[in-house]
Amino acid sequence: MTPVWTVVALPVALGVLTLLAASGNAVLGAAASGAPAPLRHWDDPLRAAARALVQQRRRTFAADRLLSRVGVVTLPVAALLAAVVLPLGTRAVADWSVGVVWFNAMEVATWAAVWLTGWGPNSAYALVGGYRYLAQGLAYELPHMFALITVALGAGSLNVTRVADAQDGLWFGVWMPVAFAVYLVSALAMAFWGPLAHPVADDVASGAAVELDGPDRLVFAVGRYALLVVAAAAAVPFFLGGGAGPWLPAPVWTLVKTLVVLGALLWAGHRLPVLRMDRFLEFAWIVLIPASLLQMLVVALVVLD
Amino acid sequence: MGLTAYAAGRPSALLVGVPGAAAVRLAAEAEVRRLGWASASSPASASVLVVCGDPGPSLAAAIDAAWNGVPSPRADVRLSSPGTVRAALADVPATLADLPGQRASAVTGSWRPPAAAEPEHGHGHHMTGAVHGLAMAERADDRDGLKLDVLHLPFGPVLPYWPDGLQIRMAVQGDVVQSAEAAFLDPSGPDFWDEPGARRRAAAHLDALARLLGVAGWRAQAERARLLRDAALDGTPAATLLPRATRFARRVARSRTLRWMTDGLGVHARLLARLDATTTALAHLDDPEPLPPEPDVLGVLPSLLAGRDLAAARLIVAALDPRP
Repeated sequence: MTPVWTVVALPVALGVLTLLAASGNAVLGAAASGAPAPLRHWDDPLRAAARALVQQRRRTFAADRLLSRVGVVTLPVAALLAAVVLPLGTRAVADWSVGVVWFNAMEVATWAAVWLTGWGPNSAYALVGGYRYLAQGLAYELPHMFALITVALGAGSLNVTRVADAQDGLWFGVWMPVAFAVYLVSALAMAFWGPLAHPVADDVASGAAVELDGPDRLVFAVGRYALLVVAAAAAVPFFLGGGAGPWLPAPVWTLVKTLVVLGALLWAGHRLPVLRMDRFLEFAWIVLIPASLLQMLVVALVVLD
Repeated sequence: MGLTAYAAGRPSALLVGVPGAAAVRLAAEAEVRRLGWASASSPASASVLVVCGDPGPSLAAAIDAAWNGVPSPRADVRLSSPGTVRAALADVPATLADLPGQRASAVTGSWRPPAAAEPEHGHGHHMTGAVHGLAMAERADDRDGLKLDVLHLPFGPVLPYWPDGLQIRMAVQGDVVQSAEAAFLDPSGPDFWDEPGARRRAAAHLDALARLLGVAGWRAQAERARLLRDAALDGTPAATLLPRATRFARRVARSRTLRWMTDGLGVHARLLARLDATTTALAHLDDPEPLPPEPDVLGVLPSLLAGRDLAAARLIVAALDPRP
C-alpha cells in the first residue's frame, strides 16, 4: 500500500528541487561567465517567474495555440509522472512492477512536448528547434533504453525499488560504468540541457522556446528544470544504490545523491558548448549504441553466471 | 503591485547593435552585466529592447518589427552615445513598474515574427492556395533532386550573437540553405573597429570571438571574451591582461567538444587564428597598426552557406564575422 505521505512529499520535493536547480544554475552560470557578484543571481528564476506572471500574452500570426499549450504543459506533467516510480528513500508513490518502463515512457513524452511547442507558434526558428529535438531523440533514446534495460537485467526486476535494493554493497554505477555514463548523457538530452540544448540553442534565438512568453514561458522553464531534477533523481535508484548509506536515513541519502548528480549536470551545462545534432547523432549511433549493447552483454554474462 | 516591481528590478534585455556604433553596444553590454540583468535571446523573452546607436530606415523598420513582439510591461531604450547608457538604463525599472503607463501603451492583436511575414518574392504563379492570407511555400529541387518546400527566411538583424546590422536572406529547404543574400542594413560612418592601436585590434577579435562562442552555445566563454574585450579597451595594464587572455585562449583552443563541433567547416581553423591574433596583439600593445582590413567576406558568404544546414551556416557567419 502506498503511504499517503509520499503522495504529498513527492510534488513538494520535486518543486523545491526544481527551484533549487534553477536558482543554483543562475548562480553557477553567472560565476562561470565571470559576472560580478554571482550570488546575487540566486533569485533570477523568481524574477523571471514574476515577469512571466505579470506579462501580457502575445500571439504569433496564425499560431496553433492549442498544440502549443499542450506541448508546454506536457513538460512538467511528464516530469511529475516519471517521478512517481522513484523511491523517496525506501518508498515510492507507485511501487509498480514495471516502474523502469513507466519512467522511460513518461520521459519519452518530452518528444511530443518539445515538438508541439516548436510547431505551435508558426515560427521558423521554433520549428527548427522542434525538429532538432526529434533528431536528438533518435540519438539518445536507444542508448538510453539499453542503459535502463542493462540496469533491469542486473537487478532481475523492472521494479525501481528492487533495482535499488539489488545494489547491495556494489553500486551499478561502479560495475556498469558504460551504462551509467550513457545514462548521464541521456539525462542531459531528455531535459535538453547544457551540451544537449540544441533544440533551444542561441543560434536560432532559443529555438523551440523562441515565441514563448508569459505563463507559457514559465511552465516550459519549470518543466525543463523538473525534468533535469527527475533525470538526476532517477540515477540514484538506478546506479547509486538508492537510499543505501551509513549513519543517515534513506531519504537523506537519496537527497544527497540526487543533489550531487544534479550539481554535476548543471555544471556540465556551463562547461561545454552545445552539440550539433548532425554530429551527435553520428556519435550516438556509432559509439553509444554499440558501447551500451556491449555493456548489456557483459552484464548478461555476469548475471547468467 | 509588488510582483510587477519585483520583476522590473532586474528585467530581461534584448540588445540590438547598429553598424558602426559598436562603442554604444559595448557600453550597454557592460552596463547590463553590472546591473545583473538577464539577456534575452528573442523579443518574446525580453522586457527591454535596447537599441545601441542611431539606426537607418531599414534597420529601424526591422527593430520596430522586433519591438512588436516584446510583451508588456516593456520598455524601449534608444541610445545614441556611450555616455548616455547608464542614465537611460537606470530609468528602465521605473518605466516597467508604471502600470497605468504600461496599460495605455499595450498593443493588441497578434504579431508576425519577421520570419513568417516574409513575402515570397516573385513566385506568385507557384501559389496553389493561401492559408490565413499567407502564400503557400513554393517548391524546388533540393540537393538530392527531391521536390521540397522552399522557405525564405531572413536571419538578423535582431538575433543574439549576430554582427551588428547584418541581414542574410536565406532560402531554406528543411534546414538546408539553398541560397543566401547578405547585406548590412544602412551601414554608415567609420567603423569603431577601424581605429588604429593594438588594444582596438585585440578587442575587435575578442568581440568576434564572443559571437562565435555564443553561436557555438558556450555562453560562459562568450561572456569571458566580452570581459576581456572590455578590459583591453579600458587600458588594463598588459601585465594583468596578457595572462588572462592566454588562459582564456588556451581553454577555448583545448576544448575537444568545440573542435568536434566546428571542424570540417573551416570554422575551427578561423577560431584558432583569431585566438592567436588576440594574444599576439596583446603581447605587442605598443604596436600602432590598425586591424588589417578583412577580405570581402560578405561577398563570398553566400557561396559558403549554400548546402549547409542552419546550425553550420550560423557558425560560418560567426567565424567569418563580416564587417560593414
